[in-house]
Amino acid sequence: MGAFLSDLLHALQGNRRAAVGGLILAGYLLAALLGPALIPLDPTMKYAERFRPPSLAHPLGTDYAGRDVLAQIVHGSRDVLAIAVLTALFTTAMAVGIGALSGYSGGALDALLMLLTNIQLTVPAVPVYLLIGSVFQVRDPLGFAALISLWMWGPLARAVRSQILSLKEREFIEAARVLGLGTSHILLRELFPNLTPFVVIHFIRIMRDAITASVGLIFLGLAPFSPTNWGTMLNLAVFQTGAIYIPNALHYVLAPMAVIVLFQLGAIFFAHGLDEILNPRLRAPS
Amino acid sequence: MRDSLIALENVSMVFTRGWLSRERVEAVAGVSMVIPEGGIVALVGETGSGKTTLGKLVAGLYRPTGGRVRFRGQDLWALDRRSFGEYRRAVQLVHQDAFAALNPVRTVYQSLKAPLLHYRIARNEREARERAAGLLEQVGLTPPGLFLDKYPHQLSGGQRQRVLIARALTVEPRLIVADEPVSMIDVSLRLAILQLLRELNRRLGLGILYITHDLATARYLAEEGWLAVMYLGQIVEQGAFREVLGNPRHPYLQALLSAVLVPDPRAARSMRPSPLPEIDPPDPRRPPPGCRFHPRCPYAQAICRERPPALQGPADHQVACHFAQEIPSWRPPSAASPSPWA
Amino acid sequence: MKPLLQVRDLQVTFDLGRHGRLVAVDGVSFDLGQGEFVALVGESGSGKSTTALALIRLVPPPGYISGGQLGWWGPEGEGPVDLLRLSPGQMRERRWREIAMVFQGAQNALNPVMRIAEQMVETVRAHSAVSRGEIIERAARCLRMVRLEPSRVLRSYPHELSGGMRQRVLIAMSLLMSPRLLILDEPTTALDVITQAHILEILREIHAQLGLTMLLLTHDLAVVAKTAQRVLIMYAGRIVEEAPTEALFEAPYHPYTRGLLQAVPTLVGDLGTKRPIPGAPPDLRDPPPGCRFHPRCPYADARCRAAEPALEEVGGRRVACHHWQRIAASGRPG
Repeated sequence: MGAFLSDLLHALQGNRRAAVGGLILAGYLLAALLGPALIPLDPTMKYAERFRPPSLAHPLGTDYAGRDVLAQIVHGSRDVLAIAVLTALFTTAMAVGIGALSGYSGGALDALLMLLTNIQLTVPAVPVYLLIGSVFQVRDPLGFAALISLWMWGPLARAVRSQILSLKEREFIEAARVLGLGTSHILLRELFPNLTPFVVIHFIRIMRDAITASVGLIFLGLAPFSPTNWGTMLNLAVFQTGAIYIPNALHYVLAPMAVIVLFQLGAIFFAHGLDEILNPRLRAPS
Repeated sequence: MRDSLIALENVSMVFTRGWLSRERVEAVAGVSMVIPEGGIVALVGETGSGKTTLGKLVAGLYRPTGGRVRFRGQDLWALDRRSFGEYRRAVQLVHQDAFAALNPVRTVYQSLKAPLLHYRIARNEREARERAAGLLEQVGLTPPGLFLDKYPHQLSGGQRQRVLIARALTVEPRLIVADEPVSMIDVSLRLAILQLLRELNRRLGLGILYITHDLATARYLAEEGWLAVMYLGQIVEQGAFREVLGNPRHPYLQALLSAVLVPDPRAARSMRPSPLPEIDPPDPRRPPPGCRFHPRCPYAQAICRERPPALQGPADHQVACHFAQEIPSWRPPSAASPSPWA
Repeated sequence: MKPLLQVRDLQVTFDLGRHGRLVAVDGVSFDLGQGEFVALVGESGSGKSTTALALIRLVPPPGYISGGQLGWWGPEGEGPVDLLRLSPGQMRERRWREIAMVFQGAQNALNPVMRIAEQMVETVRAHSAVSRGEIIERAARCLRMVRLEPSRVLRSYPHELSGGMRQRVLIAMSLLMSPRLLILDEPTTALDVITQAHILEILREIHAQLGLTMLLLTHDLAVVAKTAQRVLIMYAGRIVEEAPTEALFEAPYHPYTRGLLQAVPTLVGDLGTKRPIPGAPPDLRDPPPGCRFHPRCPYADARCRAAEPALEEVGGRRVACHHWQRIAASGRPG
């Protein structure tokens, strides 16, 4: 793993796009980990200071109650990132499990699992989230991540299945079978390590999708549980406080959007860059 | 012939594809052959002859759709779990493409230790490493410390092929099915791999089923052993190597021998490939009726188009041709002008 | 013999970024006369394919031609022009019309959704304005030359033909524009033994009939024995030996050539004299000092490790070895 990380760092130097993406993501991680300690959140309402434009004291201006927008964004990033990482973990686990089982077993089980996958892929996510969200109250990032990952594993499951299908025809798998090494060895020791780069890239993509989904759901008011979540901020700005109609308050509306877009960009760059770095290294002899 | 390790009895392998319009391909069609304990058998055939499928049948990767594969006299696919486990260790496979046959994300040591630990040939990592080092030495990768922790892409083609052989040897097999083990490596390195296989055969009494399209390398490895020639899923001629090459009877084998290039300009230029009615082999998915070689055979008669010939003759030389006794015998081309290299 | 192509000090470099630089073809010089059949022999990584691609100026990036001249003579002996000084447009005009190449493994690169006839028409149309009828007539002529039945093959899609038939289609296609130089890169490597023998026979016929110059790239000396008049042996980016075919097989001067001949098993004769060449070809990012073959050479001494031997001319042949006289005199191995 250490060798992998040093290889990765080395390769990142050669791939500017991946490096930029990685830096952006690292910035978000730092903001979530250290930000709240550095930038305190002052919840007192000072209506006199409402919708102040960006200044030295408030780099992103103030909200409808005169509170610092940057502080809210930084404090919100913890929940947002927690949801993203947890969702990616749950989704990846489900997708790899379902995809690998489906691809390796074949036959009726494969058909059944692919039917499930196709249902997941064709039924739009939002109504499903609405339905589940109205039955089970979502109170914390864990629950939220569980809710989102319930309808997000399809694409990766299908991709993992096709990877397994092609890998299991490879000759090194045949060799392991002739050596009588058993299914669990073949799956865990021979096949999965070959999927790692592929899954890592999807992991980042899922984090990105999870942020979009979570912010979207909170924005729509479906799962309001954190006052500083970027979705809550957007929801307040658009529906509750009328900030969207006030020209002075533009920064308040844009700030959460901008951090989401920047995160997306960082994730896309990083994932694409990783793809370039990881794939050829494994596929061709150097 | 010594005791048979593997015997094929009228073995067929039909692959079907598609669900509604079942496409049938009979890759192996009624093959009977014997692989003796500790012997070398060269299985020679061209693209589409079914030789690779036959190799995989011997290695137990496919279950035949017809006939029987016997392991030490027992029906392989009726064995109990324990005996099948024994068979698994007894028969190993060495692939043509060593790069594809090694897991790209595992080191040489990791590839070797898995079977060593699985079969408790080594009880712990330290023993496994010692054994793996010994195996690398045995296949000529010395000093082993240089290779144990390398990934496949860090090795040369010849070295990767040696790792494959070492991996096959981990389970102390009795037979190695080597499918074109040298066709993808450089000419200058091929002979060394063949020498290694020959040496393993002599030193360990390891049987080898050498699958190839190249009669010359087959001779290098199996001259003291056996030869089986395949064409479109069937064996057309087989027997003791010297006996068969000394007097090739099947028109296909004769054509094949005439087509082998000799590294001697004068002999090579005086030789002509056999004047076959068809240069190109037919589509293996639709083999011709009767004798499968008849559309390309210069001696074909009416009966060849109708009745498939049976493999006949004494155990050391069997031919599947209606006119095996009538067609003229074949003489090696460069016998007239011996060359230093031929 | 009229000259056709004079290659001088050709050098091709691959820039591998942080993996360093690799000189794949290093100071290669040779001549091709009009109507000659020459073989360029080397293993993978010897630089033979890169040399051929450099002749038509199609070295794929990150490789580039980093030096040398390619003198090219006209049919009446006019010239030479240096192909490396032509504009890309001028070079494109000469490719296929004057120099055609059948690439390695190209039998799998035919367009799968186009009939052979259309592919042949497109090929010609890309280079000159000729009517379809005339092209088909020319195509039929070329196909017959490679022993294919035009009426059947022209209507076929690639997947309906066997590998050997597709390879012959490609040879026919390369002849469509009546090139003066035909380069064939491992034309029979992936093919069956019987097909290979026939294709080599066909190449000899084409050479005799059309009188064009052929440069055949192969790793297999037996293919050379069957076809070429003259042989160039490449090792690790350099030419190490050149000789008329018969002389080369009679007495190789370079230890690598000798090693290759000794390393290949044969169908008849004594197998006891066969010896592998020890070691493996060098990594060209870091070639050994002195003679590049010395780590694998049974004749190597201190001189070979220190000084690289020049490619010397000796009695109508060329060899790059400090000890060639010893090797030439050691006669037939046994």
